[in-house]
Amino acid sequence: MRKLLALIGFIIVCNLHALESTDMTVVLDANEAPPFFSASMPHDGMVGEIIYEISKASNIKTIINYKPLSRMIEDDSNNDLGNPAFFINNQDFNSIIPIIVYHMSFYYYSNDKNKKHIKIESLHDLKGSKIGVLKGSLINLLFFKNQGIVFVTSYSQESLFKKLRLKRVDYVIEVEFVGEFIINKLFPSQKDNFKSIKIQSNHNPIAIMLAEDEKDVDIITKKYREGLEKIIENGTYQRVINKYFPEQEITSDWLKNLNKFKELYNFGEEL
Amino acid sequence: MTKFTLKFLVFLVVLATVPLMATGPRISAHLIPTNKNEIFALDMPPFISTEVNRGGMLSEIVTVAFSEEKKEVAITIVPLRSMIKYYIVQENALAVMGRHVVLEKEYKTTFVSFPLYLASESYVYYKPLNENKIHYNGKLSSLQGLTYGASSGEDVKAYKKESIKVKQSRALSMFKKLKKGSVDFISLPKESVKWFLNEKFSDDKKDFTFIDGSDKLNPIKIYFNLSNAKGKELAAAFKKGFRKITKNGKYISILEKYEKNPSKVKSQLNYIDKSLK
Repeated sequence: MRKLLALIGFIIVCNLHALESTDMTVVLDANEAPPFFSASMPHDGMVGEIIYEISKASNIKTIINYKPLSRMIEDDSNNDLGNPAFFINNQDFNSIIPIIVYHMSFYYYSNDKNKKHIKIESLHDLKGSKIGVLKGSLINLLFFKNQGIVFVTSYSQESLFKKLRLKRVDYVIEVEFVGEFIINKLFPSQKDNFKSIKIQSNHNPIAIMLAEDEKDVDIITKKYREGLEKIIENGTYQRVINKYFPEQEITSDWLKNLNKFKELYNFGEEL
Repeated sequence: MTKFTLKFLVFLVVLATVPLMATGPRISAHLIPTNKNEIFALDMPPFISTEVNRGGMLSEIVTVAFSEEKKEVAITIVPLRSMIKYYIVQENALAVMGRHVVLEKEYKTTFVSFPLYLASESYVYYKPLNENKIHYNGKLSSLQGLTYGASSGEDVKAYKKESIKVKQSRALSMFKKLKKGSVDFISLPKESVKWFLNEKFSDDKKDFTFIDGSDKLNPIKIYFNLSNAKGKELAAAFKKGFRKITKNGKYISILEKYEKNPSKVKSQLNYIDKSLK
């Protein structure tokens, strides 16, 4: 009898251990957006690597599946990665977990060292300017037209910065990380001539968005959230960001903004 | 034109209208934050929406009413009710507007509210899945056992009392859930139902139908937060400006862009006139 009880006990312990170490597999759809996500970069780019570390810390196997953005938006039963603003009009998510927050900046080109830095404090300061933006990113063209602002659109971010260098546009509006990444890639010897003006208070998150019908979605949400907290606390998060942007510090403002988006999309729920 | 060419052209149109990256910038009228009085509004086309000209009928009415009093406002349209809650609780927002945005008991603050439009709502179902399933006799008990697609923030106690299951959703998802059969009926303003069917479900809009006898009236309001230092002043300015535009014809001319039936426009005007007394 004792032997039988010991055997049952052993089996229960083994099963509990197996349950704990079982990897859950989650597929997240993303689209090519270097340096945030790219199949050609180690660990899928900067945010891809943060997700890899979160997954490791939370014992989840995460697969990033690349798709064109239009297909990601059209599919209303998938898990998505990106700025929730692009997706929440078309899909109800069970949970939205912001991973990083980015700012947008105005970039301009000037090789005149004596020229004062330009200030942009209102749309009035942009009157008569030509601004380069990525095709599809403009929400209200008529509004800007009435303000006397001209937009030049392009299918690729690299082409926008080439136009800026050739002074075919006065400014390019771009996500600060992306702008830096492209300037370093295309114009490493001229990078100091590219100046940027951060648009204050205009920040957006990149988040994991989990579908309503994802299996075990509440457990996965909890694990991802805990994993993110763990890697922020143990410095892994800072280390990954610094791999791509050596001077970027994870300040209290960074974390405050991250927390703001965490609350904004889930307010009223127990997080 | 071959089928392939047609498909390719459709693909090009889609490509041209969809942003290329889910992490790219979104450039809207709020690109550079201003010191204007910010009002947070919950998306519900055609009343409030970034997909409708001038932010929708009610965004235009509010902006025009304030401009009568030389006040500038910025209306920020958000997709989730949780975002409206966040701005009230965490940022002490000056004002919010929309359908089901405020249940007074949820907040420690007090609001002064004005109806902007009296919406006629009706239950809607998807005929191919529910033709013989729904027999509404004017009482909720006749819908027992079905699943109701409710809006976030909607008071659903009466449904639960009658053993009607409730699933909360955003408006576009409600229509998708009707088609999938994960909800059996929904309730939205008739103007919104027509907008969604024309804009998003034009191919099978005939399969969605209103449930006879389920009409009810629900005002869509703007709420000014009296805990915000500017709340009282802006509420008074709005009331004055709103009254002016109901007298000088501007309110009617905005309504007429969306409602072609003159008697419906007149009854809206009468309702607003009474509510402002």
